[in-house]
Amino acid sequence: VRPDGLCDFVNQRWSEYTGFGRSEVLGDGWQAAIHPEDRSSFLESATAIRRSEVGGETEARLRRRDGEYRWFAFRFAPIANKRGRTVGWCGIASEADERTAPPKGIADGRLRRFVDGLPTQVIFLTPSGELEYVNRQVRDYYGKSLDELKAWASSGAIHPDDLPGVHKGLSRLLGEGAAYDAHQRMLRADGSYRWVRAQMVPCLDAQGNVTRYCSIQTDVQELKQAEDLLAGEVQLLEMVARGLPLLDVLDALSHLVEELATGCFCSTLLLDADGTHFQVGGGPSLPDAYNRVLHGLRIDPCYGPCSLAVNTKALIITVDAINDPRWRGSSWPPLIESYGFASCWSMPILSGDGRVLGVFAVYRREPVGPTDFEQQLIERLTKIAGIAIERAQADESLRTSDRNLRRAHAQLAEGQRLSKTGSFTSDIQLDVHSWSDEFYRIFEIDPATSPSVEVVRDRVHPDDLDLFDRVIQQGLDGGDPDFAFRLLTPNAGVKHVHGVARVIEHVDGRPIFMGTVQDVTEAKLAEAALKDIAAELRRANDDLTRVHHEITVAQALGLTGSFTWDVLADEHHWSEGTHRITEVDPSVTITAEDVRQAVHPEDRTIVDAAMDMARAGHPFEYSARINTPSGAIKFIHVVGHPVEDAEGRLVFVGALKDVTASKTAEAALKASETALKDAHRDLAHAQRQSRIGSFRTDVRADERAWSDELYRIFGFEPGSEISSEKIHARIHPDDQPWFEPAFGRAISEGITFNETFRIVVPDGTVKHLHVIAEVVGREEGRPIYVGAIQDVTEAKLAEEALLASEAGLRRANQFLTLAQSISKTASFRWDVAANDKQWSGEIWTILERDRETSATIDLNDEIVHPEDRDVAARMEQAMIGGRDFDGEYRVVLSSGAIKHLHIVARRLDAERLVYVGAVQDVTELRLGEQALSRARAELAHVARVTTLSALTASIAHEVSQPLSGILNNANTCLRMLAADPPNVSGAMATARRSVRDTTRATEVILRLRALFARKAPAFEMLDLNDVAREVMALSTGELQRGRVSLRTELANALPPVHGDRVQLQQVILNLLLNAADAMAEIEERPRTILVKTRLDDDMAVLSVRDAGVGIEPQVREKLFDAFYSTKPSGMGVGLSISRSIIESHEGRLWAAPNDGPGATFSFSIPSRSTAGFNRSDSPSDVVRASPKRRSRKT
Amino acid sequence: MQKRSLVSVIDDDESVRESLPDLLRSFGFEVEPFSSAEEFLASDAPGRTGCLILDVAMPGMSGPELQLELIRRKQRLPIVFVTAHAENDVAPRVMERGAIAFLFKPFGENAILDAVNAALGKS
Repeated sequence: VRPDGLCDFVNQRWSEYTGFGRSEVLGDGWQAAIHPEDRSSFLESATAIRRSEVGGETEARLRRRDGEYRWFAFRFAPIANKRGRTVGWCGIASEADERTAPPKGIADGRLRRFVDGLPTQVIFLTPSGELEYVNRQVRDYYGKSLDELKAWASSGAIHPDDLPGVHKGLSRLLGEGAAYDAHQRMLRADGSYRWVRAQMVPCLDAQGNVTRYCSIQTDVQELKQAEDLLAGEVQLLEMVARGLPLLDVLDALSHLVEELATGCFCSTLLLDADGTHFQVGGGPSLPDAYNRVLHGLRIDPCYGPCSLAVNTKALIITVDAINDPRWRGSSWPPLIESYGFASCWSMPILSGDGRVLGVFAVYRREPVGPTDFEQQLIERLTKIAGIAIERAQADESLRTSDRNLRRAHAQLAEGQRLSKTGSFTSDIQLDVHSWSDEFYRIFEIDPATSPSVEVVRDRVHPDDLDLFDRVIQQGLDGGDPDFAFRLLTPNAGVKHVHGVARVIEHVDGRPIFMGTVQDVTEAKLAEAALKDIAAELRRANDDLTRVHHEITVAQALGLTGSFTWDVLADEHHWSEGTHRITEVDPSVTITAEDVRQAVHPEDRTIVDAAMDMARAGHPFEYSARINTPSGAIKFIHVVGHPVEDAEGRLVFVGALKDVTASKTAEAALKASETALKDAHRDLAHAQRQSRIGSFRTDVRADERAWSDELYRIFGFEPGSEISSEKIHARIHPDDQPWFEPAFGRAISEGITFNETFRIVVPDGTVKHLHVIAEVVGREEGRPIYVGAIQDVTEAKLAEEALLASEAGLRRANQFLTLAQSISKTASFRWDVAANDKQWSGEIWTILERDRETSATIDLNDEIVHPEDRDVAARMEQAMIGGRDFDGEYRVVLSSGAIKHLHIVARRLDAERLVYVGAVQDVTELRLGEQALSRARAELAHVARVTTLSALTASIAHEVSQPLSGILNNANTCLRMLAADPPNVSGAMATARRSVRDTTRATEVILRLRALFARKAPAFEMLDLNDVAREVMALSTGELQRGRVSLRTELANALPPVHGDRVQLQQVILNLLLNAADAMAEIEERPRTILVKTRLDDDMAVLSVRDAGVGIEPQVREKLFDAFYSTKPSGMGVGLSISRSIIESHEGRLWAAPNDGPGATFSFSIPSRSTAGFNRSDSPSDVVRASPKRRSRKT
Repeated sequence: MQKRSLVSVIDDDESVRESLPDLLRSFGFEVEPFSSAEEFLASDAPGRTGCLILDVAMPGMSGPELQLELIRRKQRLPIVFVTAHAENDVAPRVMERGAIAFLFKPFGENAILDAVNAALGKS
């Protein structure tokens, strides 16, 4: 062919095949043999080849002489002259085998250039599946020539894991013509495997035969990674949302990273509870031995990057551990090197509020840092790990609450057992009941017995059966019985039980009761014992009163007085009579010397002798004259008996008698007879006054002269004839045996007859008479007696009364000791100035001490409980300051036991600092109170948890809302980051919202955790508004469900209150839910709750106003009773517990109807200005250990 | 007739009202959020809305009440109900009245996309 494309020559083979003669083909004639359809493209190709000047190949169908067209390849090679210029072309046409012939078009340089120019990888395969042609992009991408690429199946060009899939896809393509579309990892020129999408389709000829396969490949590495990351994140978030175990989520997270970033090995470390050690959360691809080293590892920023990440809260990248100066000296770099790792990147896992929860770490075998993608991957998945860990922690706290709830139930049962309280529910009309374990125990009924009224009735004491039947009848009538009756049980005999039952609901018109029964036997017995003691004390007191009365009467009637004399202390107490006789001013303090000085100087020796007797402890008796302040001289007769007082000191109790009149009589008798006569009238009067009669007797002649008074004393008619027999008959039978002989002896010996004897006068009255008779002379040798007889009945009675009062005192003392022992009370007397303390015996029992070895007792030493020493010190201060004291503190005994003592001290007199007081052991009372307060707290917790369970749905709502936001935000964030270009600012905004929503969910869970927790009340200063807001936030969902709208009017600048946050929240929650319930049936007006706070006179008041059904006047009083409920499902303890909570805050809880529809429940508690201070203007210091301190002790 | 392509989101919860529209916008939808049924009715959105994502429980007019109101006004918009209340007995009722879907929060991306696409396909 010439350069212009015209033919110069064809060989014979051409002519034979085509049937055209040589002459026919010259010029452009040869082209007639080319298939008309192929002709134009053939000529174009040929022209292009000629222009290329290097030769080339094209193809076309060539006509055989019989007219059939077959595919031929036309190869053109330039013919050059000697100067190298192309002068013509040599063309060779060779028939292509149907299957092996070069496919159409490939040989065409234009197509090749076109394909090479495409910005994608294009590969042609022969119909047999061999690589036929690859474009330049393919060669560049793989860095290999076509021939090298032909060995793809064995050269490692395809990732070994993907190779089987490629073979399978190819065979389906070749065999069934199924289109090939697969993702496979291919080895790029840089030596890394990358994800490539390969699509292959067959190319068909006109007959539908496959001429070749055309493949297009796209590098989808980035896209694939982004998709996988997105799918992985969504999957992880779903795992979190579904609440799968944390370790599963963390393992899945590790696998995701390892899959997305080839060559990475992941580890998740969690912080232990105190934040000082690691725990392995996941490291599925790390060596077990290495995980074992990490587990329990102490956090030490010098040890390795994970610890440093915890401390700095920042990503720590270690590219080359063994050469990193930060870990020089640490054993960590050699350790990871021994496992074949070179680099480690540690990312702290943070909670929504910025706490470190753990560390996510990636290890690689090569000393490299993270690529941008890897760093992004770590940062994003670490956030998810944070969400997962927080969720797991929240779940764990909920599980803990659940366990606590179950434990609270168990403890309630234990509480019943300890308080001997059984509970029951009863459908009395159907005789269907359920009884608590303790109920069975109290009634001593076999727990297997089926409950019925008859079973209980069998146990009732026969005498109380009527009572029992009335209670049952009351129950059948639907009343609310309170009852107390006795049981007669097989083991314990008689028991006293006390109970209450309340209708809690009606089923088909039948009342259903719930109630409690308490075994109060011990209380009853104690009550009876106390009654006995009280009666004894009353009797003792009556005795004392009577004795005192008798003495007073006696003293007022006669000229007698009584006194007590504490010899050593020289203390004198004189009765009114004594003061009257001695004419000593009652306000004067008496001493023994005063007594002595009052006595007539001539008689002082008599008094001194008597006092010596007294000091020696002997009874004494004397008669002496005294000079009274008015100048009169009186004869007194004094008797004193020693008694030992309660403190064992020497005290005399005595009586004195004004005997002036009898002495005067004696003196008168000694005077002359005329003077006697003169004096006779006055004497008679005096005798009458002093009940002294006088006589003159000639015993032998049986003649006597009696004064009128003497007749009166003996009950004879004045002036009547008196004989010895008559007198004798009057003498008391008991005194007759001695009276006559003694009188006879006096007469025969002529001595003074001085005796006291009794007579019985005709009306039966016994009189005590004191007779003094002396011989005054003789008439005709017969002795003449003169004498005086005084009616000393009253004095005698007084003396007896004195003795009786002594016995009474002694008996009273015994009772007192008994009463002290029973009531565990010791008394004391404290003389502050003398620092002298006297204790009654019970103190040694209370303090568990041996009286012999510890004679002195001082409560202000080290036995006072350290926490109460201030109370004890205050007591001492009060008493030194002269104030009364009433307080309580604890002491620690040598056995280690702690006792609560209640101490009352009263100042005895205004002058001296002397106190008397009592110390009572109130330990059992306090322990009982503590047990009660524990049981109450327990019940409050159960009630709280019950209330919260009503909020379950609402709580789920409160958590689902933020979770929904988190999920949406995460999805949006991912999409914004994956966009081209990435919308970073948008992504950050969504991430920030995720953080906010996570915080919100966390807050809900924290509040719940606080409410579910069972803690002893902890009083602190609180903002009541804050407390209310937290509760309202929790109940929003529940209120919304009830279509209730909540309004608030919270006072500004409300002073803080002193209280327990959880308990107050329980009360507010209860009021809110009650308000919502009250409006559940209201349709005709908006359901609105108004929560208001205000300050009212130093009280912080919170009120909850509803627009519900209101309160009926008749139930208003019952509202706060336990077990009263208007709700079919209510337990009826909410308001009762609320009230007791508020009362423990020194506040008040009340309900009031509104002017319009509905009711308002309010409570008030003292705000800071009044709470927690004792009044200091009280005259007596009243000090008690605060309830808080007491409960902390338990 | 002009094609209604607006997606309206009515939810009283702020985090949903912020996050859901952003998510849907990232898929190329035109979205407008409303904090209450009343606000939605007062706007010109009902005439342009091709899909209404509606919270069930809200203060004031509830989701189901809005559905009834729209039926009364003869503005039958395709509605996708969402709720955070786990036990919900309103689902059968609103579905009977022609709601497209009823989703419980939190819902996945695909669930809401399918629902929105189904709604827009109908409008």
